[in-house]
Amino acid sequence: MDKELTLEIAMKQLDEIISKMQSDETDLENSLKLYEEGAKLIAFCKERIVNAELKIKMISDEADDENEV
Amino acid sequence: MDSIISVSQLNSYINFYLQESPVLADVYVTGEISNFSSNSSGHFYFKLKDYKSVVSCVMFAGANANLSFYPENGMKVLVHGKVSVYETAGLYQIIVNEMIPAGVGQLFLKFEQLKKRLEAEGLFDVDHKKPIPSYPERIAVVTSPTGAAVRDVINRIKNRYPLVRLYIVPTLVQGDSAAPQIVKALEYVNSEKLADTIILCRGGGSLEDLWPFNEESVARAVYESDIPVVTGIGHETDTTIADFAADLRASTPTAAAELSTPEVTAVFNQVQQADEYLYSAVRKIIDDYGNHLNIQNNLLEYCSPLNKLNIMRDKLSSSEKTLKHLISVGFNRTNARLDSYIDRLQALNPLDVFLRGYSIARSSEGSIIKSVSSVKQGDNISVQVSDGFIDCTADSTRR
Repeated sequence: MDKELTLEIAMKQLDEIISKMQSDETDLENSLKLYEEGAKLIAFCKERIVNAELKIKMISDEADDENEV
Repeated sequence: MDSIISVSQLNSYINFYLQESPVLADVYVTGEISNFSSNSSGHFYFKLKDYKSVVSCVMFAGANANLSFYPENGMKVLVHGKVSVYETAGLYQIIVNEMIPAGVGQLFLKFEQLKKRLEAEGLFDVDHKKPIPSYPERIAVVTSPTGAAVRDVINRIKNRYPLVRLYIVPTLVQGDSAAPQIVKALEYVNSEKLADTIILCRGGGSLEDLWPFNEESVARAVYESDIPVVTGIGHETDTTIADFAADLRASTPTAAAELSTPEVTAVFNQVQQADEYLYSAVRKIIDDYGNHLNIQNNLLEYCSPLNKLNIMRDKLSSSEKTLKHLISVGFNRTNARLDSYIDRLQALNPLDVFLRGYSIARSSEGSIIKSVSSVKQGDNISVQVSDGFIDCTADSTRR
């Protein structure tokens, strides 16, 4: 799975997979592939949501540097 | 002068002339209130004067209902309205639709002018507004690090969507150096690509307190930000120039936090639904294939030689049955015909007559006696009945 995967991308890909599976043109083999992909994305999303913990960073120094420029 | 006109015509013409002027239809005038009075209908009548001149003003009840202060003589104000002629008195006056105290009035005027100018320039164009990411990863909060606003935003996001990484970019939000700091902060977040959404916010305050957010430089920095900016400045009723330039305007910092993030439980439900949908979709596809396979299998079985053989065997057995049936039907029919012959023969059998009590008398020669004349006294007669013969002797004959 992509290292750069974000929730936004995952949700978008899920939407795409679902609409592909809704189309009649998807054959059995492809739909199984899509299902596998979708299941991975779902696992990723759930993991992201369940383990979410707000991270806060104060960027005082950098901002000061910027201000001095 | 070609023609002579009446006073009314003159005043009417002047009124018409004034109303045609775009400048007089939309004027801002500052001055000091004098001769203030309010009549029973709630209309305000007063004069506005400066060191040299004076002008009559009227502010009707509908317009003055929302005034945040009560006007008094000597008060310096800014009024907005149009100039019109009171024809009966030959008097021109300002019909006031807005009035604010002069100190605030200066800022208000600046605000209105800047708003108009930037609007004309396209800084508030809807087409330019960027969509706010549905599932932000990183949000930069540009605000005072000590105010209530930053706490409100953090708390709201913590409860609502703790998936994000929040970057607090501290700036002053009040006073002369606030605007340049806000501009630098916005530029910094953009150049560092620090976030996918920026929340620019500040708690409530007076118009003067919020003023940095009405500075042109801030509006331009908001407009030029490649990262979408959500503003939450002051309270519900406050609107700043930065709000107009923002990609999305929220009424408060808390509302800005809400508009920048989805609700985590809603997202979870969405994922759950996708999960269920995906499962049922793949289930359905597999079932469809299974059904199709069954149909094919049935077809194949139907076409197999074994099946053909079975079909032929069935045909044969049914033909056999039919044949048997036909034979038995024919046999029964013959039988029935035979029975009917027997019945008819039976009806003709003379023996049948004996059963009903008739008998036949025969002479000793065996001829049937049909008349007394063929019998003499002492003749032997044989009388046949149903079950045998009675031998008799004739005693006498009578007629």
